[in-house]
Amino acid sequence: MFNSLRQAMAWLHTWFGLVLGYLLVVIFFFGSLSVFDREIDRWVLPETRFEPQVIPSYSEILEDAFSKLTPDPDELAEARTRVEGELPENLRVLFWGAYTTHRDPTLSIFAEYAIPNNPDDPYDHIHGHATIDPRNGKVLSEDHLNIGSEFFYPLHYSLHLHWKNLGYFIVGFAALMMLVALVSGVVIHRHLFKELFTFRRDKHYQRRVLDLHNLTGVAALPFHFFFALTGLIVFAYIYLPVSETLLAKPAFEYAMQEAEEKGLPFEAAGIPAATASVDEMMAEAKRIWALRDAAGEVGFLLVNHPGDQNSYVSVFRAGTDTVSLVGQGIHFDGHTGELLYEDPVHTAIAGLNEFLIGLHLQHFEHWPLRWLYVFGGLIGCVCIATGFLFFVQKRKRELKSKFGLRSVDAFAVTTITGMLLATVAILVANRLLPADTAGKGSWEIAVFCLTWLLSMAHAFWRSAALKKQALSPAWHEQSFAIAALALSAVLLNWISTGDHLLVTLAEPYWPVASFDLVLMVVSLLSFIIARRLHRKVTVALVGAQPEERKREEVSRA
Amino acid sequence: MLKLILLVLAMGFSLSGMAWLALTKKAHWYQLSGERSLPHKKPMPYRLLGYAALLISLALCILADNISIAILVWVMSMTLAVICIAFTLSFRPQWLRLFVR
Repeated sequence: MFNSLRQAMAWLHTWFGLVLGYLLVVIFFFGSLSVFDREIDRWVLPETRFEPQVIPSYSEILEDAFSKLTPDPDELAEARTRVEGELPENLRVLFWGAYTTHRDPTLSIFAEYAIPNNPDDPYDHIHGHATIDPRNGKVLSEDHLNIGSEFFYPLHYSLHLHWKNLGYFIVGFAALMMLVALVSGVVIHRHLFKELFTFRRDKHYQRRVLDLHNLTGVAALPFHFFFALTGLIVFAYIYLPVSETLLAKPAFEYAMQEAEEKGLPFEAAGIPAATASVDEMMAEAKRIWALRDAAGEVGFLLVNHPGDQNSYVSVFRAGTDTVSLVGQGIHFDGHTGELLYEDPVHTAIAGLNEFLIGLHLQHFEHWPLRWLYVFGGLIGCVCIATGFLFFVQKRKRELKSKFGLRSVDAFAVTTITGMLLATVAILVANRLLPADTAGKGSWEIAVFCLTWLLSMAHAFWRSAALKKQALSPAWHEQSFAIAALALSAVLLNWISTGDHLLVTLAEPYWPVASFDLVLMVVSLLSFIIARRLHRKVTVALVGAQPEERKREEVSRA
Repeated sequence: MLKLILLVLAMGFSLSGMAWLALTKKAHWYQLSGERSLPHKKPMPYRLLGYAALLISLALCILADNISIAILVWVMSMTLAVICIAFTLSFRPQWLRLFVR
């Protein structure tokens, strides 16, 4: 079928790139936004616009907040179908947890509850979750959508398709194919290093697009490769859930054995007991880290079997200055407060695993690197988009069916400008809808989806013009719309909260100031691009007129 | 503040390193000088300068941050540098005269 390896790789690169290209642009774009998901959350939830907080006092804030946590109603309803008889009113708590990073003003707390009487699974459990203001313990409304961390971020890795984890598998397949595209791309590229810096802007369109594709692909090759790879590693437990299926029994036995070796009780004793001061345990953990020349804050706190004689408290250091998310766990007896176990220095394999996962999830404090990640992500979008633009351009003459050409172009418009339009539309909706609107988050998501669908309808409708010209007017029309909506979002933020740029820059409150600045840059760039594209369309039309006239005359003759 | 200065310097060295490496390629030498072929004695010194600058950039990153973060910053700074040099060569090649003697 193929005469050489290069030909085979070219086929693979082209077709998988084209089929999954649209999806990969979406994954890369929302991944780039997720680098600043917490900051986007601050912009969309004005009541959370305050400085990041460390884990608060257990006795003053956390204990009360934990004890008010309740199981997730949906999980509870589902659990009722799995058990024999009725579930008790109060489910036994397996653990309480709190997790924070250096960018979080609010605190995420969660719990796991034991489900008794499940004949199929004696260790069945469900979860509970809440977000609190760590300054006073007030529970924040669950009705509000954290658009950054609860909508854009999950869209990046699950496409919000939760049925049978379908979204995770689609994204995982796309990431795998991205790796294939990278390897095959390296094989088919004839002058990988010789043309590393090549962008020939004075050559014809097709050459320029290919140069841009090669430049962005090769320059950011390490970024593309490691992000596709680590994306797969992060969710490896979903793609290969052996520890929950084939190897469930040995995995469980190993967990029990490991807990016993560390002296950390695997199960509750069933005997109520008072809890020692968790605040003192956190202070002791910080003292130990400081002695190791690694002073730091608590990033993750776990209270296992709370109120039981077998209770133990695990305190993990926030990985603010390292790539690893959290680490250096110190474990205390929950009842007596005595030190039970200190996590040893991890093995090389565990260290590599933590590095690869931390590299992708990026909880470290490094603003320049965060911006470089956004740059890498957007370069990835350019690489993939130029890839399929090159494909379309190359095959334009070969495409016999007008519908095929129109479809490919309309999908490209929908994927690029349509996605941006939907993104700024959800922000505008967030500022327009009153804060107390019931189900505000669902309305915002509806606006996002509807805008994207409308942009697709518009792209198909306007692609009719491709019969006469090379460029669909949908490109510039949607770019104008992006410019208008992005600017509106900034103005609406000012009107609805009073936080205009002079205020946020003077304070300074960077999450809101920088997001406003980004929106203004997006607006300006979209406007410039829209004008240039509009001019091109107009010139093409004017230029086409004599040709058309000539053709009409010929046909009349 | 010191960290910021180190990171700005690291970025500067990445840019310089990539500029020198680019100038060892015939096509880019032509963009800058208008000469079709590379002067006989140029490629090796430029190549060495380029690699040395990239190594200095790595050292500066390690001085600024924990090594695990430093490696990521260094790799990403080189990515940014390649794109910047490619566009400079394409739009404003004369800016790279700075790196030529």
